[in-house]
Amino acid sequence: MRARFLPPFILLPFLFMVGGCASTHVENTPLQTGEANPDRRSITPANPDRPVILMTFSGGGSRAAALAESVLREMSQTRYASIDGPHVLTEDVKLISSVSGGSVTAAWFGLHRGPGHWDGDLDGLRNDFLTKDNMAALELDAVNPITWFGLVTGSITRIEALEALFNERLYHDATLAVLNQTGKPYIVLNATDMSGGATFAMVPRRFDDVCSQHDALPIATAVSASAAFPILLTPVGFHNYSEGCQGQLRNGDWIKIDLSNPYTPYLNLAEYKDARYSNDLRRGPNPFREIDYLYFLDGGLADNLGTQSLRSALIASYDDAQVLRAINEGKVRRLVVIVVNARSDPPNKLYQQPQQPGLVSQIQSVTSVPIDANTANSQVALSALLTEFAQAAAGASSQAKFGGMQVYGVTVDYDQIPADTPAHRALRDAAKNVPTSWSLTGPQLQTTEEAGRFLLHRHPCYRALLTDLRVAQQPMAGEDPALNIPCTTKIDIPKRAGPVPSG
Amino acid sequence: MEYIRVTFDRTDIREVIASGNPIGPTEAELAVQPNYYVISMTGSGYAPPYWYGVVSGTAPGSPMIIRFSKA
Repeated sequence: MRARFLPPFILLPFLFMVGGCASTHVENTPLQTGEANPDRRSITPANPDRPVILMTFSGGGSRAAALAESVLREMSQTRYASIDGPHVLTEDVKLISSVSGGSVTAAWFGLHRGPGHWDGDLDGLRNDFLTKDNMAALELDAVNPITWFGLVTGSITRIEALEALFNERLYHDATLAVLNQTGKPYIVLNATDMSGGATFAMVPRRFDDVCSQHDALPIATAVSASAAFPILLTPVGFHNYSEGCQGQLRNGDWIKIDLSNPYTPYLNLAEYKDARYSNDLRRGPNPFREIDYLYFLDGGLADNLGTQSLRSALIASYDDAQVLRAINEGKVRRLVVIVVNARSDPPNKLYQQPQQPGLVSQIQSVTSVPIDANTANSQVALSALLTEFAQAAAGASSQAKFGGMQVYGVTVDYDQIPADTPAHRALRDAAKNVPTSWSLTGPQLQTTEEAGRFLLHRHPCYRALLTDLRVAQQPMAGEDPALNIPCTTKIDIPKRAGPVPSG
Repeated sequence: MEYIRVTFDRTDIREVIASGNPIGPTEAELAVQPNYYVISMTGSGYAPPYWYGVVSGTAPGSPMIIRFSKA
């Protein structure tokens, strides 16, 4: 049947160019009079000895979704005993900040994790999405003449095909309200505001800024906004309803204070910019930009690791997650931050090419090199912050309730697969060669999952966490038992006499 | 990060409010980002009504002390 039509790789760009004239389809709904966007979640652990696990999942299509899935699966199979009984580590995941393909897994996990399903039904994600040929489904949709008509007339936008796929296979009309419930982890799906380049996190606080209902947005739409890769997909559109907003918004004192004193731009430029963005969205005084509409593209354009929202959750006092407040109150004794980076790195023929690179090669570099550089910088900044926390906890006075808190910074990154044996080199090369797509072959999925398990299990800080939780560990096949790499963010503090900080 | 300790009354622990947001209890060393803050506490019956200024140049174990007294 498909032979009757032009091949999709020729047809799709043409249709997409024509469809680019489509009018804006606004996806969000306004807050009604007196209506609010409460956040019902909490990062506070049931008891302070339980770890508080914060994670980020990078972009990278189904490769990123599968890598995140494999890390969660390994954690769900890690059992430990606490004073309140036996647990698995996925029970302690309190926040996931995600981008693009990572958002597929983050939203699924948030939707399904709960009593009796502490693994978040990861088999369901595997069966319903990761093992499916999703690209074929998207292409078939595009060769359907009814879809052509919709694309050309603007009644269907290109992003809607992806939304429909996510909704049909994964989220089944569920909205963000299902994620925003007591006992659920914070799932922070990040998109990029394509006009200003800021990260737009799909969280209640940010929906306040545009006077819009957070809970009403379909999960499939939020994930699509996080995964709307530019040019291939149209942006997700939001209307800013702040003009004459009658909703009940969060306290915006911090915005006014940050923008009205001369110090913040020098002491904390990141917070200043965030305050200015919130002020612009809220149509506050002296706006930097007049924002009527927002168009969202792949969150990886601004931050391909999702570390910006994790950093905000960790240290911004205006962030709903309030992690720093819980730390200051002594409610967090073990802080675990796991960054899952699915960056691929296929062999580049340019190294062997004597001719000048063509336009396609240059476009590929322009779209990937800055993202990779930005990703590396944000990872370094997060590591520095965690080290600072660890040092503060180690050097704290008796008046600090965070004194003695242990910090475990874990990164899952293909570059950490050692090149010491043929088997490790083969795993590294195979994992780095998996392309960015919404479909994976069986071997690609198997390789990605194996790499995820291997990297998590091998990380010195993850191993330190398991040791501290008294989890029995088996050496991995081919591993040198004498190899003892320290966890750089964990500082072992000698026991001191004096009062123990209480929860 | 920077560090502050808000002192008031050891028998009456309040929540410290930094530029409108709760950050932790009084009488404890609190980690905050470097910034200009307007600091107050939950409840009433204290003076001054708020403290404002820059929090910078502190270290763990050597926090900036911000004092409130009973009004």
